[in-house]
Amino acid sequence: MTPPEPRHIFDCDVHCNPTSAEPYQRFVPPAYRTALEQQLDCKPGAGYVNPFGVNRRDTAYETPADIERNHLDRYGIAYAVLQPQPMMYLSLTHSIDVANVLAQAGNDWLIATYLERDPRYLGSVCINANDPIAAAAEIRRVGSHPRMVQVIVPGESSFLYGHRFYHPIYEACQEMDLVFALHPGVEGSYNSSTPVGRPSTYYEWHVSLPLTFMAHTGSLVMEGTFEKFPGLKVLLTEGGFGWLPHLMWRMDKDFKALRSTTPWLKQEPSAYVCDHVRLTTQPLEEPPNPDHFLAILEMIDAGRTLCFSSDFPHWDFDDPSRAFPSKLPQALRDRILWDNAMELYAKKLSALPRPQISTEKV
Amino acid sequence: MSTPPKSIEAAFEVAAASRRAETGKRESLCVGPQADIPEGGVKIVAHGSISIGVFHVGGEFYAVRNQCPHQGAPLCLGKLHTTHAPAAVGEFQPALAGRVLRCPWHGWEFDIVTGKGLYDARSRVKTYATRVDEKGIIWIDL
Repeated sequence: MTPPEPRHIFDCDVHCNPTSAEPYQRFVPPAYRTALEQQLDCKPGAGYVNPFGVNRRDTAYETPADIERNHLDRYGIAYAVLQPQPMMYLSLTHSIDVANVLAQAGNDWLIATYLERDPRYLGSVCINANDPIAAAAEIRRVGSHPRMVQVIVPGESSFLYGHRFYHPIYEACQEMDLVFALHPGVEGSYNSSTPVGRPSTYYEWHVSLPLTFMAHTGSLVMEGTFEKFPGLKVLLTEGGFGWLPHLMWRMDKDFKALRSTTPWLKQEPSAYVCDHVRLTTQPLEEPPNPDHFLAILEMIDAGRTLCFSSDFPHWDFDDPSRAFPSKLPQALRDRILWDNAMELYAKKLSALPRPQISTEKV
Repeated sequence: MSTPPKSIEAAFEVAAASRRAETGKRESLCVGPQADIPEGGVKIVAHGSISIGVFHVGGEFYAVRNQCPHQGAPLCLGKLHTTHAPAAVGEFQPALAGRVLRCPWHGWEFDIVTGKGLYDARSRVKTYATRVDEKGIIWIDL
C-alpha cells in the first residue's frame, strides 16, 4: 500500500544559537551584566571559574626563566616544589587510557623542562589515581629521578583517599620515598565540593575546599593507612589548616568510645596526623587578632607540621616576608619557611648537594 | 553611634561621595603628556622610593599609591573593574563602574577615586590630586 504523500512536516527538535550579530545578552537586564562579566553563569561542566582570573597579572610566569627571575631569585627560594597544571588533575579525566598516557607525558615534560634545568626545582609525579595499578607503575618509572620528591593528586577523587583502592599508590610512594600530596583540584566538576550540594559562586566554592581535605585526612587516619604504610607522608597543599585542631580533637574524643570499630588504630588519631601529615600555609587563615593566628599554630604543632607555600603565580599568592604576622617568633618562622619541608622531603633531598641558601632573613 | 569597623555600607558611602585628594601646595610630580595614558590605561611613576599609578578613567586622571596595604603588592598593576553595591539578597546593583582596582595578589578591591578599600569601613590606599596643565601635561600634587 502506498503511504499518503505528506503535505506538512512537524519537526520537534531544531537548534538555534545566538551569534555576534544576534546576541541575546542585550535582552539581559542591565543590572545583571556585571554579574555575567563575573562569570556567575558558569555551570557544573566548566567547574567554578574565578571571575577575575586565576593568575597574577603583575608578573610573568609562563617560562622557567620567568619563574626563576620573578619568584625564585626575587624571594631567595632555594627549593620550589612544582605542581604542573593541568596534569596534576589528570585523575578527573573520563578516559582512563588517555589519562595514563598524559601522566607519562606530563612527567617527562616536567623533568625535561624544569628539573634538568635548575637545581632549585623539585618535582611532583602526576598520576591517574583512577587507575592505581598504572599510577603505581608511573610512580616507579619516574619516581627515582633525584628531584622528584612527591606524587600529586587532586582533592576531588573517586573515593576518599583512605580507601584501599589507592593502596598500590601508597605502596609505590613508600617504596620510592615520595610524599603523597593533595592539592585542590577542580572540585565540583565531578562530585560536589560539599557533600550536601553545589555552591553558587566561586567565592563559596573556594571557601568550601577544606571540607574535602578534612574528609580525606579523617579517612587516611581512620582507615589505618598509616598503620599499613608506616613510611607514608601526606602533604595537604592549599587546603588551609585552621580546621585541623577541630578534626584532631574530635577524632581523639570519639576514639575513646568508638576505637573498637577501627581496631587497627594503635594510637590516638591525632598522633597519626602529627607523625604523617604536613600542611602548607597558603591561603593563610588571617584572624584579625594575630594572637589567634599564633594560637592556631600552637594547636597544630606548626613547628613540626606547617610548611610555607606561595602558590605562585596564582591570584592569592603569598610573599614569604609579608604573609605572616610580625609577632611570629623567628625560630618558628624558620621552621615553617625551611626546616619542616626539608624534614618532610629528607629522604630524597639528602642525596642532593646542599642548595645555595640566601643569608637574608625573611 | 560609631560606624562598625566591618561595615561595607560605610565603605561604599565613602566611595560614592567621590571626594578626591586635596591639591597639595608643597611639591608636584610630572607624570607626562596626557596622550601617554589612553582611556582605561595606567602609567606607573616614581617619587623617590614611592611608586604611584596614574589611571585614566572617564576622561579623568586618578593617582593611587602603588602599594597594597595588605602585603605590599604592586596594587596598580591590578585590573580595573565594576563592582556590586551592597544590596538585598538576590539583587545585583552594579556600582563604581570601571573605577574599582583589584590587587594582583589576593584580589582586594579599592576605589581609585577615593582610595577607599571596599571590604571594610576603615582601610584605604593613599590617593593624590592630579591636574593637567595648559600644555596637556599631567601633574600629581604630593
